[in-house]
Amino acid sequence: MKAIYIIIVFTSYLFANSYEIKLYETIFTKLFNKPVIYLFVDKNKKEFKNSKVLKIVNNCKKADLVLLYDINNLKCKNKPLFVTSYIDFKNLDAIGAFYWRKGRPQLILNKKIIESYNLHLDKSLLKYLE
Amino acid sequence: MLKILFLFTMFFNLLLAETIDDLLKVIEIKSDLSEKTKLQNGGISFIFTRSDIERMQVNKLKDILISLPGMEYKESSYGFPDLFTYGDNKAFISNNVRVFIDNQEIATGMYGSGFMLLGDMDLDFIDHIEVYLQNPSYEYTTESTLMLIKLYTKKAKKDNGGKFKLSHNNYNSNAGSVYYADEFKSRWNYFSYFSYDENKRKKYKVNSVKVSRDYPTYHALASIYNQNNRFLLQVISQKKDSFLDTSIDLTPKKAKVDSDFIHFGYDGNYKNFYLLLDFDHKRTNSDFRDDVEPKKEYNYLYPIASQISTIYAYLYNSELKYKYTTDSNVFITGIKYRYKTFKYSHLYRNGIALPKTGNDKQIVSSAFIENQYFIQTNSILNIGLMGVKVKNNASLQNNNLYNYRISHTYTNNNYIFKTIVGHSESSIDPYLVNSTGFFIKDKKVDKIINNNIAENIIYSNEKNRYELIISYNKLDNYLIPSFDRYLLYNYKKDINMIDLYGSYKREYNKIDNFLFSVEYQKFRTAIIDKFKKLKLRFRNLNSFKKYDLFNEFIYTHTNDDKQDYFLYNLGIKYHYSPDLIISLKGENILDDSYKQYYMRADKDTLMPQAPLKIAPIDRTFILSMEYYF
Repeated sequence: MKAIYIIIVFTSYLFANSYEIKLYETIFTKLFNKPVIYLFVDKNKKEFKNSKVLKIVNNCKKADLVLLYDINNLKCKNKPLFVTSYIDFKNLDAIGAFYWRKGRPQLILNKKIIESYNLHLDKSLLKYLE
Repeated sequence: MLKILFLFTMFFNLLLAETIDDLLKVIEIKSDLSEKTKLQNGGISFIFTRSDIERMQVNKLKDILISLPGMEYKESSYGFPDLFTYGDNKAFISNNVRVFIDNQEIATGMYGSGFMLLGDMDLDFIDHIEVYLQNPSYEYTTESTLMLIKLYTKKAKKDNGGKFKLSHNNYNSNAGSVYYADEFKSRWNYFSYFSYDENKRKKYKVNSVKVSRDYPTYHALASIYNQNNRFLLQVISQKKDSFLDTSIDLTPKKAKVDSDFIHFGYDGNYKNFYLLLDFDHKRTNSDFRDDVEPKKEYNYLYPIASQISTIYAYLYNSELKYKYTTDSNVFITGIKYRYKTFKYSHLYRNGIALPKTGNDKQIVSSAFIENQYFIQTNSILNIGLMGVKVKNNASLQNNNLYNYRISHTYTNNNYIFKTIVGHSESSIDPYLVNSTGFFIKDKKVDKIINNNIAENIIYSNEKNRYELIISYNKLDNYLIPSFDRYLLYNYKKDINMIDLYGSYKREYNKIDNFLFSVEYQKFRTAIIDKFKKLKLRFRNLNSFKKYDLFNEFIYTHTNDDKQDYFLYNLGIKYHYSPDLIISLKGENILDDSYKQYYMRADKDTLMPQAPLKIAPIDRTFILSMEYYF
């Protein structure tokens, strides 16, 4: 299927998503402490196409990190998981979540889970710990 | 010096964008658009994002309608929002302005469009707004549409939590609203909203008679939904001072319209199918008294000294749509069925019970097909056809209406070129059917035809956005009021409307922006051969530390009486904490905004008099407090 819908959205829509990607790039590079991260994402794969930091893999076994928009797509349970809902963050052993509350975007991280994967907790991330 | 300051600011902003907090702030403002429906090919569109709505302190729909090309916010003599009013004795004639909440149209069985109800309603339940002009896509509309307004409610996914808001204005009017949104574990979400607004407004004296358009309103809305299904309930109860009402000399002794409205609907997707079922009910009590002497030559029915009525109107609506997508086509077809009915429990004019017209039902059936063909990935040809059959149960007024639209959209990295050619036909809503001698002149009204062509060119890069819209509309059989009791008749000369609109938007950092637009409009009306209007708009949105600032200035010049109008709005928001916000907004601060005409005649001789001129936007100062919990 051609990428037919992409051309009819505003440029600012692309910008909006690019900031979200930029946020993931910033958090994940700090956590993994390396310049390139292999990411498995269950939706919106095209949005990550231009990222030089986040490389999308189709098999979650090859990923450093799993980013899920829908937890029904959860497969590689042994991989660090990042989710997009607070309920999922509370119910699953996710390292963190990016979600919305009261009309504002929220970032939350779980220290215990992050440490269990031996990930690096940068100083700038401390204020987002649960 | 200024150059150095600018470079420093730019550098500072770039530095800020690297921090997580700043990225979150930019996402909050920019991501509004990612929620919008991708209907760019559906017509000429204007999007008001959550950030626009909040920073501009948009309280009512009319606050944004003043920003649209070709539009002037107006109210009927009853004080109802009515964009196309002539300022005569009709409560509402803008039935071609359609209002949707999410995917469900809010409508009434008597007057058709729900703009009458929602045009001046509190909007704190809204996340963002889309407005489509120039014969928009048939995907949503059942009946002919000149303007499509889509209000999108707040969603639990984004607004998990609650908020209450209190406000007070300089007319000693208080308002309060509260909402709460949450997600269930089962993936169903809900959003609930309640508000009460005293809606006190500026009073006017007409020949020493005080007229009011206050409208205390209770409003409740609830929505339960998951990814594929939605239930929507809306209830509105209003006790309205109906302003000038139907008074011949605009000096009513008593003018009240109380109404209760309920909308309930379901819409959902299953694979390629979409189903919608909804119901609207409105009960209206009117009580009008005037100090006039009814004339024998009009069987003592005119002028109107008193009119008392209770009307129950019902509307049932259903839609079934099918969407099929291939590599180079998006095809959608659907059938829609709308049943409108109403009954008067009583209707007395000048103490005389008016005979029933016999017609109390209208059935609108429509079928449409629309296809988007992708000539290339950046070039889309859209062709749509819609046939509408309007049938009234006891009237000559039945119509077969044909509508078509052809549009082409071309985009590249920076440009969007959109061309729209359309033809639409419309009929009259039930309250005008069989109203010969009361609202219309002849027994049957010919269908109203609008042929339009529009070109929309947008150039944008990261910081600048230029837009040009050129449109031409040719209206045939347009309904205009006669001098005989303002009875509507088909104007047999063409009405040609030319509209030129250009805008420039500068995003001078990631959050703040400036908008300038210029508009020139020219058309022939029944009264003025060449009506011309020039409009200039300036809008500036800034956020600085804990403050949001909004400035808007609109200059309007018309040639009807060589009048210049100045509308200036100012808003300041102070974020005391992320959860507590104090706001102050001034609307029409110079008290010199666009004024509309209300027609009147001498109550004894019935001879026309100079019309009354009143601004539909009051000079208002509003102090608000919002708290998120």
